[in-house]
Amino acid sequence: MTRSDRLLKASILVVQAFRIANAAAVFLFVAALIATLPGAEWVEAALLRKYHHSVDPGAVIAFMQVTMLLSLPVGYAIERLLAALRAMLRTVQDGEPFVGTNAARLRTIGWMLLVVQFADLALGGVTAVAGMLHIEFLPWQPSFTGWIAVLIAFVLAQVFERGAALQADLDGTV
Amino acid sequence: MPVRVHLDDVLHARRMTLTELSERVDITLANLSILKTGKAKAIRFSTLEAICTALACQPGDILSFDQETL
Repeated sequence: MTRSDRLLKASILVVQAFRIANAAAVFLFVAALIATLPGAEWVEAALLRKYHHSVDPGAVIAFMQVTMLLSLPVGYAIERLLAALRAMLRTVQDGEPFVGTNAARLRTIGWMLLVVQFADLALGGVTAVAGMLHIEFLPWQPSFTGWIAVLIAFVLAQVFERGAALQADLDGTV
Repeated sequence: MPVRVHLDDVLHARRMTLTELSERVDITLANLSILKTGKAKAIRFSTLEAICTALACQPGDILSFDQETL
């Protein structure tokens, strides 16, 4: 097995590990969402213990639910993105990466990165709401590298499309 | 396709098999079969040169253009 083969195999394993981690995160968010559904007095009690009466528990629970709901499209986008990446790595393993389907997969990756970026913007809004509700939340900054990644994915998809057409031409060349 | 490949005829005239040609020109048997059966989309000058050298022929002996099939 060459060094490049080993690297490829390791990359597939890393992508698979990320998929498992993503699925676990989605499961946790769904579980947390169910736990905060109406009737979960223990959440209200925990909030009152932490913030005493400086916050409205009902508003904070609604805030938490919106935040957790936001994670679902991100989880879906990341799964689609990683599945496409894994399929692309498999084509490299098979020795035929310059195919039209990989251009389509790169375009899918671009769209999914865009979903993640919009969700990130929404997270910025959520952070502002958290400030208004006087509750502790994660710090947020706009991610410019993420927008550049979206652009790169779409540009690479076009390059791949051209590469796949050239490869198709070469396939019939003797 | 209007461009016809006559590799079979030239090989027959030279009493040479495709496998022998494949060994002489260092092109896989699979690729030579694609060329022989007219399934190739394009042919490299280097391939043509190697085949012409091995078979002592001209490119025109291997390829012809048939306007009627256009």
